[in-house]
Amino acid sequence: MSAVLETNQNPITDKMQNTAAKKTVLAYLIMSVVIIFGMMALGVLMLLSQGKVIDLGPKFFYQVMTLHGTGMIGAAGAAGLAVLWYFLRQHVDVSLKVFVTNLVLFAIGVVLVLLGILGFKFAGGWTFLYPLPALSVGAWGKTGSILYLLGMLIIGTGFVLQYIDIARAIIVKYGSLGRGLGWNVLFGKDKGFGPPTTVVAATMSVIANMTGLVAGATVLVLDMINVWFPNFTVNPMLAKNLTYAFGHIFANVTIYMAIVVVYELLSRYTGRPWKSNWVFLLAWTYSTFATVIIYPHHLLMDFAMPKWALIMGQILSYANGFPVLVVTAYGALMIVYKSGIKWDMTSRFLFLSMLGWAAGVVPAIIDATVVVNSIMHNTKWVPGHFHMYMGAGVVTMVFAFMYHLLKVESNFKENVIDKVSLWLYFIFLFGLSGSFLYAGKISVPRRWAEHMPEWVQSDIIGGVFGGFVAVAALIFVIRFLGQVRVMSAKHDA
Amino acid sequence: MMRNRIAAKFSIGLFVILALPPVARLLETYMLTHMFVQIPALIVAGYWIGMGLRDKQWPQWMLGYNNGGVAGVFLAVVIISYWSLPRAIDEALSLPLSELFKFGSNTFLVGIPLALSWHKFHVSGKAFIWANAISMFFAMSWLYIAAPIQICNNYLVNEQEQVGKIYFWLGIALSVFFIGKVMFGAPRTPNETPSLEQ
Repeated sequence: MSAVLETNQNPITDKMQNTAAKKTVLAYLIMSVVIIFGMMALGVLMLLSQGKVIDLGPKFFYQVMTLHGTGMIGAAGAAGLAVLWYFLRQHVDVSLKVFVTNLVLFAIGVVLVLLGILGFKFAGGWTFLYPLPALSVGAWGKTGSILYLLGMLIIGTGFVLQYIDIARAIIVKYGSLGRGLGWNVLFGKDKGFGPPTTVVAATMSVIANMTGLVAGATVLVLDMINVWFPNFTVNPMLAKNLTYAFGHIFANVTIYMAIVVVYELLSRYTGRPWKSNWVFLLAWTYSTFATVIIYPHHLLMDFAMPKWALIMGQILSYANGFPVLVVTAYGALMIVYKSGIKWDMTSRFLFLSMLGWAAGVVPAIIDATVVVNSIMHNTKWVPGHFHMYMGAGVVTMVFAFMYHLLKVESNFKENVIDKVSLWLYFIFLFGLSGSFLYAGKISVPRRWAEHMPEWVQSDIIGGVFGGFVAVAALIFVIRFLGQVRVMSAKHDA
Repeated sequence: MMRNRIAAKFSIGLFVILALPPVARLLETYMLTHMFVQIPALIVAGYWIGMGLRDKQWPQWMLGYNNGGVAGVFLAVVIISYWSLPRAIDEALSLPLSELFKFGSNTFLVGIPLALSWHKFHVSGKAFIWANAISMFFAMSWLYIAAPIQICNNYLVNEQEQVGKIYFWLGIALSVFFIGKVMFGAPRTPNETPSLEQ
C-alpha cells in the first residue's frame, strides 16, 4: 500500500486520510503525553521530598530522578518525532512501517528501562555516567544496569531506523541532505526559496540526531561491556564527552522536530506563508552544526578537557541563540503581527511555545559562560533553564499539536476549562522554573536527595507550582484521550 | 552478464591462490594482513563468484527464502561478526577445522550471499547496516587498543594495537565517505522519485 501524501486543500481543517498513519501518530502522542504527565507527578514528588514535606528516602529518590529525566526526554523525543512525521509526510514519502517499528522498539525500550529502575533499582541518572553503572557501591546490581542501558540502546536503535528512513525520503525527493537544508539556494546556485520549512527542520534533525545517537550507542555499549567485564575500561573523559554529546543533541532535537508545528500551523492561522528564505536557511544550517559541537558547554568544569573545545562550546553556544531568537521567535512575532489571527487553544499554545523557547534558552546561554558556570554548574539553575525550555517549549508545541488534531479530527469544542488550564499551565510553569533559577542563585546543588533547611523553601514553592502544572497537563491529556476513539475513526472520502 | 562470468572465473582462481599454503601462511603471519587482507579477499572472491551465479535461474522456492535479500544479508552479517572476534582468529590458526571453516564461510557464506542479496536489500536496511558497521569499527578499535590483556594468543600486543588503529581509520573513512555521499548527492528530477511501499 503506497504511503498517501495528502495535499492541504483546506489547511486548518485538513483531515488525515490514511487511517493507519493517523492511528500511529495518535499512538505516539498518547504514549508520550501519558509518560510526560507521569513524569510530572514524579517531579513533584521529588520537590516535595527535597522540601521535607514527604520522605522518599535517598535511594528511591535517585530511582525517581533517573526515571523522571529518562522518561521526559524519551517522551519528548517520541512526541516531537510524531509531530515532525505528521507534517513531513505531506512533503516527502516517509514509511509508515518504519514509523510503526520505531514505536514498537520505543515501547520495548521503555519496558526495559522501567524494569531496570523500578525492578532492579538502577539509579544512575539518565546520564548513566561512566563508570557509575558498574560502580553502584551496592545500590544496584549488574542486571539493573544492563536492563537500563539495553533499554536505552533499543530506543536509540528505533530512532536510528526512523532517521534513516526520513533521510532516505528527503534524498529521494531532493537529491541530498545538503539540498534538504537548502544549500543550493544558500550558496548561490539556485534562486528563490529553499525546500519547505518542515523539510529543512527534518533534515537538520536527521543530521544532528544521527550524530548524537551514534555517540550514545557507542557509550552505551562501552558501559555495558564495562559492567560485565570491569577490566575493560574506557577513558572517563571520552565516555563523558560521548554521553553529553548524545544527551545534549537528543534533548535539543526534540524541539527542532516539534517546531515544525509552529512553522506549519502559524502560517495557516495567519494566512501568511513561512518560507525558507536565505536567513532561515542560514540559521538552520548553523543550528545543524552548532547543535552537534556546542555540547562542551556541559563540560566547562572538566579541567581535563582541551581548552579549545571549551572556548568553542562557550562562543558557539552564544551564537546558537541567533537562530532561535532572531529567526524563529522574531519570525513568529512578525507572522502574527496585524494578521487578524483567530486565537484558539492551538494558536495560543503555538505562540506561547515561542515565548517558552526564547525565554528558556537565555539562562542556558548565560550558564554557558565559563565565569558564570564556575558558580552555577550543577546548581538548580540548570534545571531552571531546561524546565522552561522543555515545558514551555517542546511540551507546549506538543499540546498545540494535540489541540490541532482535536479540532480537525473530531467534533471537539474547547471550553473555559481548556483556557483556564492553559494559563494555569504557563503561569505556574514559569513559576516552577523561576523557583529553580532562584535556587540556583542561592547555590542549591542539583541532583541532591537531601536538602539543607535553608534550601527547602524554594523546593516547597516549586513543588506546589509543579502540582498546578501537572493538574493542567492532566486536563489536556484527559481532553485528548476523551476524543481518541472519534479521532481514530476512518473518515468518509 | 559476460563480465560477471569472467569475474567469477578469476575469483575461483583468487580463492585457489589464497588457499595455497605458502600464501595463506604469509597472510596469516601478521594480524593486520590476516584480518584486513586475507579475510576481505576471501569475501571478494566469494562475491564475484556469486555475481556469476546471479544470472542463473534459481528455483522459486529458494528465491522465496531470500525475499528482499534479508536472509542472505543476515547470514553474511552473522558470519562477519564471528570473524571479527579475536578468539575466532586464534582458533583458525590453531585448529585446521577452524581454518577450513574460515575459508569456506567467508567465501560461501558471506561473499556469495552478499552478491545474491545486497542488490535486493532495501536502501534503508543498507543504511542501517552501514551505520552499525561504522559504530562497530569504532567499538572494535577501542576493544583492540584498550584491552588490558593480549587477546590473540598467536599475535603480539603491538599488532593488536595496530589492528585497533586500522579499525579506527576505517571507521573515519567510511564516515567521511557516507557523509559526503548523503550531503552532496546529485539533484533529482520529479520523475525519478520512486515509491517506497507497493
